[in-house]
Amino acid sequence: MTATDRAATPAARTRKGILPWRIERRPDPDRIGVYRLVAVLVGLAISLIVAPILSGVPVGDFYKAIWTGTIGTALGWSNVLTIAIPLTLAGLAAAIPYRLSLWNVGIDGQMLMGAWAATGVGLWLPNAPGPLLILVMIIAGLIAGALWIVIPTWARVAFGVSEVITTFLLNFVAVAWLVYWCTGPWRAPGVAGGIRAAQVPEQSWLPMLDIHGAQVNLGIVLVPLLPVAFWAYSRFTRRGYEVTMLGANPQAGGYAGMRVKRHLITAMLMGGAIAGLAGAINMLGTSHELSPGLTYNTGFNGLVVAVLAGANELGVLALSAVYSLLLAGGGSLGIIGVSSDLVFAIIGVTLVFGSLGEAYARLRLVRTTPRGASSPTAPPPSITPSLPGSTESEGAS
Amino acid sequence: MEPAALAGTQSGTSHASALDLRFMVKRFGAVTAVNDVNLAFSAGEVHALLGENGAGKSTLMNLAAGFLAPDQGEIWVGGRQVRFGSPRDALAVGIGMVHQHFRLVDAFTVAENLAIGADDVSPRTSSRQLNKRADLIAEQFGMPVQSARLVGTLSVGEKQRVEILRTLSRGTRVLILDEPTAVLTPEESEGLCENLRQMAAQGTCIIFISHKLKEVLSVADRISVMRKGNLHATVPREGCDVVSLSRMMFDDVSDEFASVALTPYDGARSDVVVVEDLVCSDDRGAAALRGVSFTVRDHEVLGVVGVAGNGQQELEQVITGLRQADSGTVRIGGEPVRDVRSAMSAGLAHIPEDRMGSGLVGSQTIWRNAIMRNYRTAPVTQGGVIRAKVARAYAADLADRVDLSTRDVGVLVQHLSGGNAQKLLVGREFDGDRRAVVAVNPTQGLDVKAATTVRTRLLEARDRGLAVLLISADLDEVLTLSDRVVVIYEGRIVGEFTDAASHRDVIGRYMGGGHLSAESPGTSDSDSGATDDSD
Repeated sequence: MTATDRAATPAARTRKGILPWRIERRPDPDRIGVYRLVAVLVGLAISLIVAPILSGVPVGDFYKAIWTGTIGTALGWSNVLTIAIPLTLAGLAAAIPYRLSLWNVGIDGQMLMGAWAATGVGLWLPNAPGPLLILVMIIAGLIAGALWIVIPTWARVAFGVSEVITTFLLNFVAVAWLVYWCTGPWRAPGVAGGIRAAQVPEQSWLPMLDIHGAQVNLGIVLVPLLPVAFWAYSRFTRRGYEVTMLGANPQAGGYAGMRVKRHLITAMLMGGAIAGLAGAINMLGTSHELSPGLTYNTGFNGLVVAVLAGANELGVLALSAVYSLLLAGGGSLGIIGVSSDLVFAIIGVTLVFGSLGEAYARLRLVRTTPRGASSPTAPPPSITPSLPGSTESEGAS
Repeated sequence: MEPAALAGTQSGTSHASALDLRFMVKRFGAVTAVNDVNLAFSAGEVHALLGENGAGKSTLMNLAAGFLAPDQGEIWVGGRQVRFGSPRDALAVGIGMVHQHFRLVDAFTVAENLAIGADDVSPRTSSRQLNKRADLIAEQFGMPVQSARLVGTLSVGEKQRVEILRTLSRGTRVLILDEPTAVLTPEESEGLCENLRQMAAQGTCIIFISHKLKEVLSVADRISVMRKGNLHATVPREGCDVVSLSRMMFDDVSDEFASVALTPYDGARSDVVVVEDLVCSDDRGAAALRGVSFTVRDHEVLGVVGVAGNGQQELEQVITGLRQADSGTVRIGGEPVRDVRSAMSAGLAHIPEDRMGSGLVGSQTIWRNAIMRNYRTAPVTQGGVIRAKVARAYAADLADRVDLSTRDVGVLVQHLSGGNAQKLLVGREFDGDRRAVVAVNPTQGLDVKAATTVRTRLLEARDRGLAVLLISADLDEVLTLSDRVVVIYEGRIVGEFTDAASHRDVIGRYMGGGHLSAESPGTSDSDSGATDDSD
C-alpha cells in the first residue's frame, strides 16, 4: 500500500536485450536527402531482384517488359517522360507548402479544377489562335488550382483548422463538380459510356516534341525548369531565406519579424496553383478532354515524392524521375500479365526503403556489449533488498 | 532511527559504494563528452557535480541513470556490476534522475502522477486511496504536496517536488538532480536544499548537478569538478570557497561576479523605453499584465525580478512586439512599438530566454543565423537576392569579434555549445545601431565563464548608452547588474529599488507576494484576495 513496499520491486523486470546492438539517435543528422535517394535505389534494386521470382512470368520476360516499357524503347521513353510531367509538378505542389510543414493533400482536386478551368476556356473560345488559347487556358488552370486551396488556407490561418483534412476532402468535391460538367453542360456529343467532356479545340493541344525518337508534349520543358527555378528561388532570394528559416523554426521567424502568416498563405496558394497547372498541362498535353479520372492519383504520388525528397525541389526532380520509371515499368508489366498488386508492391517496397533511408540518416546502431563483458542487463536481483531498509517510516515518525 | 539506517549501510558487505562509475567513456561523433571518468558515490552524502557547460556532468549522469549507454566503462551498484538498457533498468536498482524538464502529466492530479508506473496501485484503486498514498509518500520523504491538485496548476517548485517524490517512491537510493534550482525562487531553492540534506541524512545518496557555486557550497558534502569531459578533482566541502571552486573549474576566472561590476554613471539620462499602463492577457486569455508602467533610461540597467509566471513573458513579448497588448503603450526612443519590425527599427535588441527556441535556428548554419537581423537590406540583400558571399563575410567577422569557438560559418548552430550559441546571438543583437535591449534570463544554462562574457557585454552596452531591460529569475544576477530593480508580481510592478543589493531580503519577500501582508512570504501567496480588483 505505502511506498515502502517498493523495496520489493523485482529488479528482474528489466528489459532483456536480445541483440548486442541498439538503436541510438544521431546527434547531428547530415545529408538526409542523399541517404534517402540511395535508399530508394537500393529498395528498387532489391525489389527488382525478388519480384520476377514472384511474378509468375519467365524472369527474362519480366526484365524485358520493364526494359521496353521504360528506357529500352522510344515508346517507353515517351511513356516515362509523359508520366514525369504531372508527377514532377504535383511533387512541387506538395513540396512548396511542405517546406513550411503544411500538407497539401488536395493536389488531385486542384489538378482537376485546373483542368476544368482550362477546358472551360477552350470550349468558350473555340476559334482563338493556338498559342494565345494555350496561354489563357494555362493561366486559368493556375488560378483555378489556387482558388481551390483558398478555403483550406483561410481556415488554417484564421482558425488553425488542419489543412490536411480540408484539402483532402475538397478532392471529392472536385470530382463531383467534374462529373456534373462532364455529364451535363460539357458532355461529349455522340459518345456512349465514360464520363468525359467534349475535346478542347485542336489548336490548343500542346505540340509534341521529338526527343531522340521519344514523343512527348511540350510540358516536358517544365520538368527540369520549374524545380530548378523554385530551388534557386528558395536558396538565393530573401524570401527564400525567410522560408528556410521559418520552416526550420517558426518561432525564430516571428522573433526576427518575418511575416509568418503571409508566408503560409503564399506557400499554400503557390502549391494550389502549380497543381492547377499540372492539371491543365495534363489535359492539354495528353487527354485533350476533361474527365474526373484525369489525374490517376498523381496528387498522392506527388505528395509521396515531396515527403521523400524532404521538400527539396531538386530532390523532387530526382525522385519523380525514379518514380516515373517505376510507374511506366509497372504499366508495361501489367501488359504481359503481371498482377498489378505486384507492381504496387514493388513501388511500395521502394518507397519504404526511401523512408528507412531517412531513419537511417537519423539513427545508428550501437554495440551494447563490448567484447568480453558479461551478458546484457540482468542486474542482480538481490541488490535492492540488501540496501538498508530504505527510509521506511522513520522519516515520518 | 536515522543513525541506525546509516550504520546499516556501513556495516553492510565490504562497504560498497551506492554508485560506482569506473572508466566511463562516452563519445558523440568526434566529441568525447565523458573521458575515462572514475567516480564513486556513497550512501548518505550530498555530492555536487560542478563544471562548465559541456564539461560532461549531465552526460555522465545520464549514463549512470540509463538514459545513455556508455561506450566504455562499468557501473557498479552496491558491489555488483550492472548494465542498463533503459532508465527503467536503473530505477530497478535504485538509481533515479530528475531532469530539468519534468515528465509529469499536467492533466492528472499529484496523486495520480505519483501512481504512474507504481506497482502498488491498480486501475481499481480509488482516488481517495491514491490521495492517501500520495500523502504517505510526501510525509515519508518530508516534502509536502497537495495530493488532489492538478499538476498543471502547480508552480514550478511544486512540480519539481512531485517529480522528486515520484522518483523517490520508486525505491530510489541514488537520486540524481540535474540543475534542480535553475527554475526555483531563492526560497524554493533553500527549501529544496534542506529537503536534500534530510534525505541524505536518511541514507539516500544525492547527486546534485549545478552551476551555482554558493548553492553547492551550502548543500554538498563532497564536490566533484569536471572539466572538458574529465574528472578534475573531488574534494570535501570543508576548506572550499567560491574562489577555490571556480579556480578548479577554470584557471582564469576567480569569482562568478568578481569581474563584472557596475561603473557609476553621473551624466544626465533621458527616457528611452517608456512603458505605460500595459494590460495584456496570456495565451489562455487570463490577465497577465494588469497595468504595468516603467521607464528605462539610457546608460541604465533596469532589472525586473519576479517568480516565473508573474507576467515576465508577456512583458517581454509586448515590448518586443511579439504580442499585442490589450491596452497601454510601449515607446522606444519615442517611436511606438506595434510589431516586431517597428521594435527592431526603433533600435531594440532582443535576447530571448530560449535561445535555441526562438533566437536562433539550430538546424541552419552560423551565417544564416548571423544575418537574421540585417538580411532585409543592403549590403546583405540586393534586388531581393541574398548575397551569400557578403553574408558569409559578415558572419565571419561577427564570429571573430565575439570570439566564437569556430570561424567556419558553414557550421550548423546546433553544433555550437550553449555559450557559443549565446555569444553569436548577443553579438548579432548588439551589432549595429541600437538604442535599447531586452534580455531575458540571458545567462540561463550557461557556465560561469560564458555567463560572465554575456554579463560583461550587457554592461558594455549600458556604458555605450543603451537602455538595458534585464528580466531575470537569477536574483544575484539582477542585483549585481542593475542600476534599478523593479519587482513584478501577478502582473503588477509592486516595488522599485534603487539600492537593490542592500535590500535583497525585502526584494525576495516582494517576489513572493510579501508586500501584501506583513506575514512571511510563501505561506499563502496564492489568492489573498487583495489583488483581485477588476481592471
